[in-house]
Amino acid sequence: MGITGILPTITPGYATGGPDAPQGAQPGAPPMAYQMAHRVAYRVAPSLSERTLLETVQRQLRAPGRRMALVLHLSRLTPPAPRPHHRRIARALLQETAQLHDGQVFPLGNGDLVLLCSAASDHPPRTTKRHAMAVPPGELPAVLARLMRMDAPDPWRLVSSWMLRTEAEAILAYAHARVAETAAPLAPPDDGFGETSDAIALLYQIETEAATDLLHRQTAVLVQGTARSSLRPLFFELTFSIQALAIRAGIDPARPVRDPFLLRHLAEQMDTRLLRALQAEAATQGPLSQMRRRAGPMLHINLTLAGAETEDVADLLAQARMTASPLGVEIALMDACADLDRFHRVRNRLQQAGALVVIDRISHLALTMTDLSALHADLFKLDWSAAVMMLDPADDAALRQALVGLGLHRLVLQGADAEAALHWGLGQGICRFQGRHVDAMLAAKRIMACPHAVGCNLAQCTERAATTGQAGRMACQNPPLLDGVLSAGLPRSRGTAA
Amino acid sequence: MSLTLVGPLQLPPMADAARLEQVVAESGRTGIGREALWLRRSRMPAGLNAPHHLQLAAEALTPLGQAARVQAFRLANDDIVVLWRGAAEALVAECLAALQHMFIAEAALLPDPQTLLRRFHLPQDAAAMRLLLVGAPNTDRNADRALPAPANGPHLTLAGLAALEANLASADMARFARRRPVCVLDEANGLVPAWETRQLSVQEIAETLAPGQCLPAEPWLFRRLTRTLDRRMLALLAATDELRDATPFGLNLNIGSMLAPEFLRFDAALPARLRGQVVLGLDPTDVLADPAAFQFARTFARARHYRLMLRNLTPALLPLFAGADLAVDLLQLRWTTGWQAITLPAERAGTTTLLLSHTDCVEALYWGQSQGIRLFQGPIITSTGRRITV
Repeated sequence: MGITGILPTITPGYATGGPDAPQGAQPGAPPMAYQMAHRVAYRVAPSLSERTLLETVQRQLRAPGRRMALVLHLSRLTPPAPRPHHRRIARALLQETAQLHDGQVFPLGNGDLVLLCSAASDHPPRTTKRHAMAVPPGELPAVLARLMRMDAPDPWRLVSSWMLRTEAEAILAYAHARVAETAAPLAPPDDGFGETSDAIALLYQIETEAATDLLHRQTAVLVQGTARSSLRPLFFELTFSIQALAIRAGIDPARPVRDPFLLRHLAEQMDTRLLRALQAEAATQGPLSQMRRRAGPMLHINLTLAGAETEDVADLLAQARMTASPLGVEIALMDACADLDRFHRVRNRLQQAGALVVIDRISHLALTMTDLSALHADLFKLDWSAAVMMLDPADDAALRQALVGLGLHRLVLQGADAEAALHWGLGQGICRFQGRHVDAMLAAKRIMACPHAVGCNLAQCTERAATTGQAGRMACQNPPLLDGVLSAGLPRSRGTAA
Repeated sequence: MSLTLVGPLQLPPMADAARLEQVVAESGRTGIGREALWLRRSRMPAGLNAPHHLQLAAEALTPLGQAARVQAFRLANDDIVVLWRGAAEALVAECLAALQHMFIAEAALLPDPQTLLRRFHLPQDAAAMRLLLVGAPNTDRNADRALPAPANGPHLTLAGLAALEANLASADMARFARRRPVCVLDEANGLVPAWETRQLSVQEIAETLAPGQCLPAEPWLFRRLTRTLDRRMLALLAATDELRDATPFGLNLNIGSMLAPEFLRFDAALPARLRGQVVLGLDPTDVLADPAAFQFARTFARARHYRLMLRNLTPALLPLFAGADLAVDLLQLRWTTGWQAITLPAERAGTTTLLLSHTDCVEALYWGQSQGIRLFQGPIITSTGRRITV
């Protein structure tokens, strides 16, 4: 597979900051990390598989018989799909059918899989134990559609099936198009979880990295009424960017640590760093401490159950009580469910200390599969996914029922990175949002309200608001406004703000 | 009440558990009524379980020697069961009083005598007695009081996990393979084997490949390790002829393992006669970690005729999943004493869709039976695993 050219492009989302923005992209970062922080977009030329497909189609069209072509358009799936297991299982199914029906499977460079086989048995099928479960070619589209249902909004668009005798143009056009095009390179085949050695590198980075410059904050807002410009900051969430750490650790961005179990283990290590960073910040009267003194929106931190049981958290809660600035503790759903008895203990302890308990990282699928009201948390953070806009009526009704059952007033739609997320959420009755789109809306609002914003643009204001270190905020002339204290008196002229 | 002083043993010579099982089965079959008193000497607490204490407890039963057509049975775990015909409530009360009297000096240690002496009425209680009989011979005397092994050893670290995974890659895993039966409660025949769970013994792997380390002390790393073990187990089962004579079995897998190349190889090696007979157990945390992968894996498993089971449900987890339709075939409830305070929804009762696992005491069997559960697994069903022939 040849690389035809390298056209580096900076992913727009990174330029606007946000919790997922790799800090390696910041000026001054090591050149290697800087390079890795940018998604490098390049295209690959057609490989032997594309050319072989075209030649095979042309050859078979000379005597098409009852042969057929089936194309599984995995390239049409929306990222993160197709995942490694999609490709693996689908290919195995096609391969079985191919073996039984005198066929051949072509894995193409764009991710699509093509099966050329006999639609009916021109030759007696080779029925061995191994092929007993092979799906007949006619049933494959339905089986594949069922399998991909959760990842393909319209599963039937995912599969094309053509008879060579009557639909030769279609398969020929498809094969020609594949030969003529270049495609984004596929991720190298892996098990989808990443290497343990990469997790070790990440752990080393967590333990040695100066934490404060990797600490991000993001504001969640309450959208009041129907006017979307009416945003009221609810809380700031502090997070460490694991992606940024991975870049600094030199982990191949194409093969990140995705194992949810290893990531939860690393999260336990990050608790310590977060709590230490907060203590250091308080000791030096950093921006966060100043923000809390100004009675800005409350602070949310992410903790594991082990982290939430430490003495550091008890100290933090005691400080929060003294400053009358309550604290929110966000616990991942997976963490809570892994040890529910412990979660109940931690939740009770936090709530008794005046903290808000938030269940984090809830996918819409998890929401419909569980009754999360049994967790008795104060807030639930639903991950935005564009897939929710394309659910079939039954799934849509189930999701709607789950949302209402949990209580719309207790839901925060997070990861709202596009207008569509707000549109969908408001349509469902959700009025709490968090995400890059919200960041941009807040920045726009600040720029409109700030008398010192003449030289500022949206991206700068968004980035400064996401930064917790003093250095990243230096250029801002209006920190109270940056901290979301919209009611705070605005300074009279540039340079007078603290 | 006047106590009869304990003299020479007045009970008839004691038969064994097998004979008792015959009598109970016969009573259930013929409907002939019998009364029973079960002295659970296996439940005597530490400090009251020396041989002379047990002998003393046995002698508390001697008043029943006067009952009609009395029979006595001694079980492998030292429990004693006395059967008789007709009413003898006064004699039972005497036994109770005698037990209290004999241990009056250790009253603080003695459990409630009602828990040590248990009454049964045959044929109504035949099934309950058979449940107890299944469990009793294999029950370790201290099993109910056993505490989890303390996590004394150093915890597993990421570096340790990487080293262990490297060791596992070249280790002969066949010697760690075990089978643990799942039994179905049959009214006529008691607990009958339904299938076996095939698994690798984590304890032995730890002892062999990571001596001194406490693997489960770091739960997330341990979960990661189970995925590696899943794949080795699947590779074992996919070996030539391994499944040729296999009977129905179950595997506990991570969802990632169900979608791994090793599973595809295992699936290709599975004999057609076992389709629909293999139970794949999935953990709820794993399901919530990646619900999309779970739904994909579920559809794939259905297409390949596997039965799916959501496992390790605890009393705390059940409310989370109770109302949801996860479209799985079986729910595995992990026994803890917390279940005793819970009554399962009526629609669940009387079906084989519930499996009670980790049943390590007779209370578990009682509770399960009272909830209509018919599938059981745990140390009380079998105390030792057998090796898989590979």
